[in-house]
Amino acid sequence: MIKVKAEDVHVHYGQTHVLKGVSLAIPDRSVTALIGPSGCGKSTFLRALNRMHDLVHGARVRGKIQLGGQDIYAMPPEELRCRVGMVFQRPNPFAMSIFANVAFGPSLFGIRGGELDRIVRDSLRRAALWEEVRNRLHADARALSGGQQQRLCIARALAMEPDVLLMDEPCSALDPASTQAIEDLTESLKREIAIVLVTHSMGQARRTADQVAVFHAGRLVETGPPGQVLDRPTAPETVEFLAQ
Amino acid sequence: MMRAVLSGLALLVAGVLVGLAGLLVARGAGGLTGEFLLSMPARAGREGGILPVIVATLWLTGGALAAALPLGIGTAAYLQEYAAPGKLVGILRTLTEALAGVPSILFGLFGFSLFVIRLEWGWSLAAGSATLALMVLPTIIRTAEEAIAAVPRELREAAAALGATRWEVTRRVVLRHALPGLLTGAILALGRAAGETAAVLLTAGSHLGLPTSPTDPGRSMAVHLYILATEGLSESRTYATALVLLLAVLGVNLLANLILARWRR
Repeated sequence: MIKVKAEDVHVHYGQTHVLKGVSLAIPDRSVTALIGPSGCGKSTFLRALNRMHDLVHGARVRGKIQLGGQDIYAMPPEELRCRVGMVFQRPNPFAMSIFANVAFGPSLFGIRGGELDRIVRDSLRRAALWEEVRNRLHADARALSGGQQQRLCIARALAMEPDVLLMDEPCSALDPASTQAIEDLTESLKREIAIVLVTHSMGQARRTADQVAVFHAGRLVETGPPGQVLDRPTAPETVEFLAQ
Repeated sequence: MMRAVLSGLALLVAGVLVGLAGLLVARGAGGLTGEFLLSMPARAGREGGILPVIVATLWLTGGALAAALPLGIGTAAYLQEYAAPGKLVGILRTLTEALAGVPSILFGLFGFSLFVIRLEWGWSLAAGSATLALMVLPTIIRTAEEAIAAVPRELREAAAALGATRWEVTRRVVLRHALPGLLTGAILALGRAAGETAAVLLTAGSHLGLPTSPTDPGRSMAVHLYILATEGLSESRTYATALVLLLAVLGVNLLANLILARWRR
């Protein structure tokens, strides 16, 4: 089943045409990896999926993006972002306790008390962080290690029970052990939700992805299973990119 | 060579500061007793304490901050978080900067003509507070804008990505992370308001009675100090008052730093 469907998506920053007509279908319960050289538009495309460009003055998005068949521009951006979570390149916990970080999203919607406790606990479990932090939920989140912080950010996103999780190079600031932990996590999360992962690591794309999409100069040049795209690429841009 | 000159200069500055504090302590500490703080003045301040002056100063600075902090932080949040960069923002920012350079006596005159005369508040703590609020507003806006601008964009995005509206992002994340800077601005403003003399003299008057409401006139510590010194009423009380003012401002500063240290922990 297709969870997110993007058709002819363009993004402009001021006068610069950054994304030039990308169409991509993202299946549910799977990992779609977006790869390509720096500045190819993969992050720009990712950020179009939860309307993050709305926050940037001078950014314009054209085209059609559907989430479960609904036009994402027909709903308030806040509602969309509850359903489409995001994890960023560098861990960005708030200057609050571990508990308050995970509780941030649900508490915006008035969830309190035992219900909130349950959501925080479940989210930390799903992000494979619970055992490490269960005894210090009220400690400052910034005291955690980088890898733990990134898993906390994943727990924070999962607390909204999203249908889709967008991950923008989530391991680029992490050591190999933490990267492994995030990849294991991706593997288990994809049983429940759709994951879109921007990565600069071919190894990561190969290990985690069910579908790989290659971007080049603002265009999508090739899509397919990792075995096909990474081993038998057909687009010359992919061949060139993989040769680097 | 230059190193010696510069370190000499630094030493000189430090010496002046220590000398200033030393002078105030040497001449004022003797008169600084519990009774001085808590009793009414007698014979126009030649004798007795400074209770009404302390009360008036608390009213004036407290009132000024109570008005200027929400206004100033709100303006800064608007400029940084809401307004699209453009003409209006540029004009507002230029105006704020110009306002910061206006001599305080002009704020006093403005407050006098608007609050005291036009609005018929008379010489009152309310008129004084309102005038001081206007005077410190540019400082608060500037420091708040800087503090807000220093909050990493990633944190705003993280909050927005969780479904927070712009207002929720601003209130729950941006202002929270800007808190140390906001507090620093508040302390700067407090120092200026507590030490302001001319503008207060023009708007709150110099009545030495114990104020019981914001509509009463009052004499701030700085004004009291000015009057005691210029009229040669009591040298020991002049310095004791000055010492109280210094310790109060330093005390608030220290308290703020403690709060910040705890918060940063």
